[in-house]
Amino acid sequence: MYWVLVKAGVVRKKMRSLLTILSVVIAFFLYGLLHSADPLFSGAAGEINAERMIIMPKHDMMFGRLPQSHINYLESLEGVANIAWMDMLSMDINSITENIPIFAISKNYFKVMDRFEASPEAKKAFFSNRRGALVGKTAADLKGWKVGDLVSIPTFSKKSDGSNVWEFVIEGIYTTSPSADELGLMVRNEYVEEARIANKGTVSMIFFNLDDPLKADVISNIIDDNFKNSAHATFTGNEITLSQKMLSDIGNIKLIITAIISAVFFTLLLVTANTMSQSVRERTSDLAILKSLGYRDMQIFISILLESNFIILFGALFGLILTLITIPFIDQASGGLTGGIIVFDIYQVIKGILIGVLMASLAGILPAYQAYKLKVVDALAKG
Amino acid sequence: MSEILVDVKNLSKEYKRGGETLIVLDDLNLEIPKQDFLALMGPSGSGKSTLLNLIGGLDTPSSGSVSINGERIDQMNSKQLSNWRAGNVGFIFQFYNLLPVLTAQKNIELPLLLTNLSSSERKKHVETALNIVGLSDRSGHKPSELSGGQQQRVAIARALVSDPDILVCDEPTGDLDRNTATDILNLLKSLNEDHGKTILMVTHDPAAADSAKRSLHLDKGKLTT
Repeated sequence: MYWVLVKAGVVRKKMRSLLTILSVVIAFFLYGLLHSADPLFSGAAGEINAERMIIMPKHDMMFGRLPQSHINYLESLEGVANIAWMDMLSMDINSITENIPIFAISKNYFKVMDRFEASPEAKKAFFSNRRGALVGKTAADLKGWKVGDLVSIPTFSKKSDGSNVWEFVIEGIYTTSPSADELGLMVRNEYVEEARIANKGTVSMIFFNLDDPLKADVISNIIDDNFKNSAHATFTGNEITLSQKMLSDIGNIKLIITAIISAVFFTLLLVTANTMSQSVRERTSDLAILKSLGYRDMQIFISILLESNFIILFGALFGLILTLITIPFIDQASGGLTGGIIVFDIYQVIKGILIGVLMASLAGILPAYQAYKLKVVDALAKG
Repeated sequence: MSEILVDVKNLSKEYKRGGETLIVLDDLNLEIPKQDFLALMGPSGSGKSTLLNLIGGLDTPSSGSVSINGERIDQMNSKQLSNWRAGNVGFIFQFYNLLPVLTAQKNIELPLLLTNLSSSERKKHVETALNIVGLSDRSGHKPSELSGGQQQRVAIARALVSDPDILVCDEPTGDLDRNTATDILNLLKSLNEDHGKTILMVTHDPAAADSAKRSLHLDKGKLTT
């Protein structure tokens, strides 16, 4: 019974229903896309590990530097294990098409950052060759690099011989999960440190493990307090707190996204509620006839609510499916950079559907109540 | 004498308009036997449609009683009245009031959706109703694809399909030309005579009233004939 009434209501003004559904599709597509990027802004991306500690320059996390003497201090601290560090060489993006970050890593890097994996042979060859390099799988695919290749990369860092072109020998391929981190080239920090002119004696980040993960806060505070008044103040934390701090330096992106989605949904709510009200007003006579045939007030109320739910859920479902279809394309277009990070899982689909039900109920409740209260005699008298 | 189907006793209906009380029906008494075909005439504002609505269970009286087949419908609440209407009364309106997006068949099926009949049983009932009104070949047409007379036939089939005791018609020929109106009146007559339906019809048209077995006049809320 209800399906006949809902269908009759929806197809009565086909174009209007179609446009309303289309606006719902767009709203939920936006919701899906923005929410799928949630892990990027909540520090929950991939294999982020709360027990992996990182020290970064407090006042300029992106481009600031830390002196290597900080490592010496760290070695003297009790409870700290497996210290590693990393520096970055920036490719000269004027002379190449794809920018692949070059990480100059220290010996213990793989011990601390255990989500990066390479075969024991590849690691052995890498650490035996001062100019050795391990290339991420995505980067290797992108550049067509193979083990044994000698690669020349123009960078913004000059070497002591005056050249800014660095040469490395590919000794192996590294993989990781998520695959976004496979777009990189790992080289030996000792070689970079020795050959470069600028930034000697400094690193970008220091990593370490803890003997007791429960002491993360205590040790972080000890390190940061120690360098509080130095020119190279530190910010120490696990990967989650670090990624959140970096994002908060840019701005509260999650809040902005939530605000955008809320605005979209609020507008959609008004549009749908208006459409439903108009639709019910136009159908006063039809609804009165249904009541005269014996349809109860509550049955009419439910049918209007179901109609509102149908329009919104139909659109929401299409919007969410569109998101699921689009994500692989975004992934592809990003060259694997977003691989495994931008995800739209079943939890978010269910959340989207529940939002749809809530919106549909809010949008439909007033028109449904108007229909419920409609007096047959008055409605028929008005024609 | 035939058994009484509609028994209206001391029926009054008043409306409050801006502090004034408007008496539409005033202490009215009426009995309609089963299988009667009664035409109700009178000037505009005489209370014809109000009486029709009260007998059809669309409205409730200010005082008095309305019994249909022995059931006091004036004492029913909104839900009970809806249930009662679904099984006991069929409405035919001047402007047909069909749902524009539904085919003739679906429009006629609407009252049956409230019953426990299966889809095939509903289909059978609809086909019977379409046969009675002579529109079997138009079942798949939407109202916009039908003439005024055909739309009114669909409306009559919708009123008939749940096999009610009484058909309540409010100016059923008011929007039709003379020939089509005659066809519709003949159809109503046949429903009364051949199918035993009790019909109460409000009309302004004396020719339409002539089709009925008897006529009553209403003026200022009182029956005058």
